[in-house]
Amino acid sequence: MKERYEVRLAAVGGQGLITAGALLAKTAINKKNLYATQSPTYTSQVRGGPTKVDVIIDSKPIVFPQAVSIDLYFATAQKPFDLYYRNIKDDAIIVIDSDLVTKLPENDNHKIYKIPLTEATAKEIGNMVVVSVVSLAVVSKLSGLFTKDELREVVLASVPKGTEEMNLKALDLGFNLV
Amino acid sequence: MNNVKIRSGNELVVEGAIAAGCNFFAGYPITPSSEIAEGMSRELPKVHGIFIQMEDELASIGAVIGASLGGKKVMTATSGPGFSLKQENLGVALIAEVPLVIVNVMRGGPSTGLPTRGAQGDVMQARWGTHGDHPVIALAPAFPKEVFLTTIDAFNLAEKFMTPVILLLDELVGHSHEPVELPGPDEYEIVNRKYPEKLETLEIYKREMGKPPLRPDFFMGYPIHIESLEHNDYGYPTTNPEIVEVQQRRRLEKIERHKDEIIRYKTHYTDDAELVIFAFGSMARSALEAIETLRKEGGPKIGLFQPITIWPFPEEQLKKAVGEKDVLVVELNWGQLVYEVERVLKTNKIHSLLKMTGMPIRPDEIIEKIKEIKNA
Repeated sequence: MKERYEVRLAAVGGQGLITAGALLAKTAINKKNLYATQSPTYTSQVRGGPTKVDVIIDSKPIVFPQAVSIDLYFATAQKPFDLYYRNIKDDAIIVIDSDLVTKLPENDNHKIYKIPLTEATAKEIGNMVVVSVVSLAVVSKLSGLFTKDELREVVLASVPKGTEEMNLKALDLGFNLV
Repeated sequence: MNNVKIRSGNELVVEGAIAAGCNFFAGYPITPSSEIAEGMSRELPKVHGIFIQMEDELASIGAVIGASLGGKKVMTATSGPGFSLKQENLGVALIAEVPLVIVNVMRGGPSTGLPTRGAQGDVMQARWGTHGDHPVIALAPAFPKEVFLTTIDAFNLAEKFMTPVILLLDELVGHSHEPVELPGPDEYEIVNRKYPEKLETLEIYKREMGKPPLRPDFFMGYPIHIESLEHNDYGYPTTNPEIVEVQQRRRLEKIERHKDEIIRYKTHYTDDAELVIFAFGSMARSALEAIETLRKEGGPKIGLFQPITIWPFPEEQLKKAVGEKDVLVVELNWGQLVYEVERVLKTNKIHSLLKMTGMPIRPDEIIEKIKEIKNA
C-alpha cells in the first residue's frame, strides 16, 4: 500500500455504506496495524438521502480525518455520485453500481469499474441488507487493501448473530464480481 | 497499536464523563450529539448513575441543575437548536453557581439549519447566549485523546469553580471514528466538589472576592436557599446595590482571577513560523495538516495556535505565542473569533479564512489561502 490511501463511499441512506466504511477502517487498524479514520456525512432523512463516508488509511497518525485527495471513489447511486464527486485524484479508481449510476461526467479520464452491485446482490444473496459487505469486498479487492481472509474475521466479529453465513456469501460475491 | 480502541468524539465524551465521575445525565437527543445521550443511557446504569430522557431541552437542563444541587456530577448534551433552548436555564446555573457540563456538538445554523453538517457557529452564543454579565468557561477539543481529557477537565472546572462549563465539539470531531489509546486513571486528575467542614451560618454565598461558593448540597440537612434572582449571602433575593455589586463581581472574578488555571491551548510549529494560524476543533486539524504538508514540500513555515479553552479567551497566551507575526484565523463560520483575535492583537496583520457551507475548510483550501497571502 502507498503511505496513505483515501476511500470515499457515496450512497443513499439505508444502503449501509457508512457501516462498510467503519469495517474498512477497523480492518486497517486491527489487521494491518495501520492508522485509519472513518468520517460519515449524512442527511436528516433516515433513508434515501445522499450520504458519504470518508475512510483514510495511513501508516502515520491522521491529522485531518476527511478525504482531500481520493484514491478510490465508490458510488451506488446517481445523486450521491454527483454530489460527492470532488477531491478525486487524477490516478484514482472510480467504482459505480452500473445500474444506478448511469450518467458520468464528460471528459472523465479515471479508470472506471462498472459493477452490477445491486442486481447481483439481489440475485445471488436475495437480501439487500448485505450490499454493504459486498461493497466492502469490491473496494478491498480493487484497492488491494485487504484480503478476503482479513475481512472475514472483521466481518464475522461485527455482524449480528445468525447472519454470518449470508455475510460470508456476500464477501465471496464481492470478490467474484470484480 | 495495542490498547487501541476505535471511537468517535461523541463516544469519547461519554467515556470521559464516566471517568470524571458523572453520575447523572438528562437530555433530549439531537443530531449530531445523539450518540452522547445514547452512550450515557448505556453506561450510566453500570456505575449506578441515572439517565433520563426528558421531554425537551429546557427540561433537560432543569433536571441537571436540580441533580447537581442534590450532589450529583451532571451533564447534558445537545446541538445548536437545543443549546438555544437551554440559554435561560444556563443563566440560572450561572447566577446560582451550579456546576454542570453542557455539551454542544455544533451544527450549521441558525435555527434547525443544517442538522447533519458541521459548523463552528456557536462560539459567540456560548459566550453571550444567556443575558446579562456572566462568566463563562467553554472548551473545544480537536483530537480524540484531547476530547476524552477535555471532557474530564470540563467536570473538574465545573466542580472547582461552581459554574456551568460548555464543551464545544463540532460535528467532524463528534462523528469521526478514529483509533485512540485512552489514558489510564493515573494520567488525569479528578476534582470533586468541596464542602464546608462545618456550617456555622446559612450564608452560603459568603466568600472572599473571586472565590466560588462553598456550600452543602440539598439533603445534607441544612435549610439552604438557591435562587435565580440576584441574591444576598443567604441566597435570598435582594436589590441592595452594594450587595448586588459584590455578588456580580465575585462571580466574574472567580473566573477572571483564575484564567491561567482555566486556559488550555496548544502551539504547533510556532517558533520558526512566519505566519501563525489561529484555529480550534476540526479546523485546527485541517490547519495542522496544511502546515505539515507545506513544511514537507519546502513551502512557507507556518505555525498553529490552537485554543482548547475558547472562553475565557486566551489573550496573553495568544499574544505571547504570536509576537509580531501575521495571523490567519480559520473558522467554520462567517467570522466570530476573528473579532476576538483582532481585539487582542492590535498591531498584528490579521487575515481570515471563513466559511460555513456545511462542508469543512479543507487543508488544500488553507494552503491556497496562505499562498494568496504570500503573493499579495
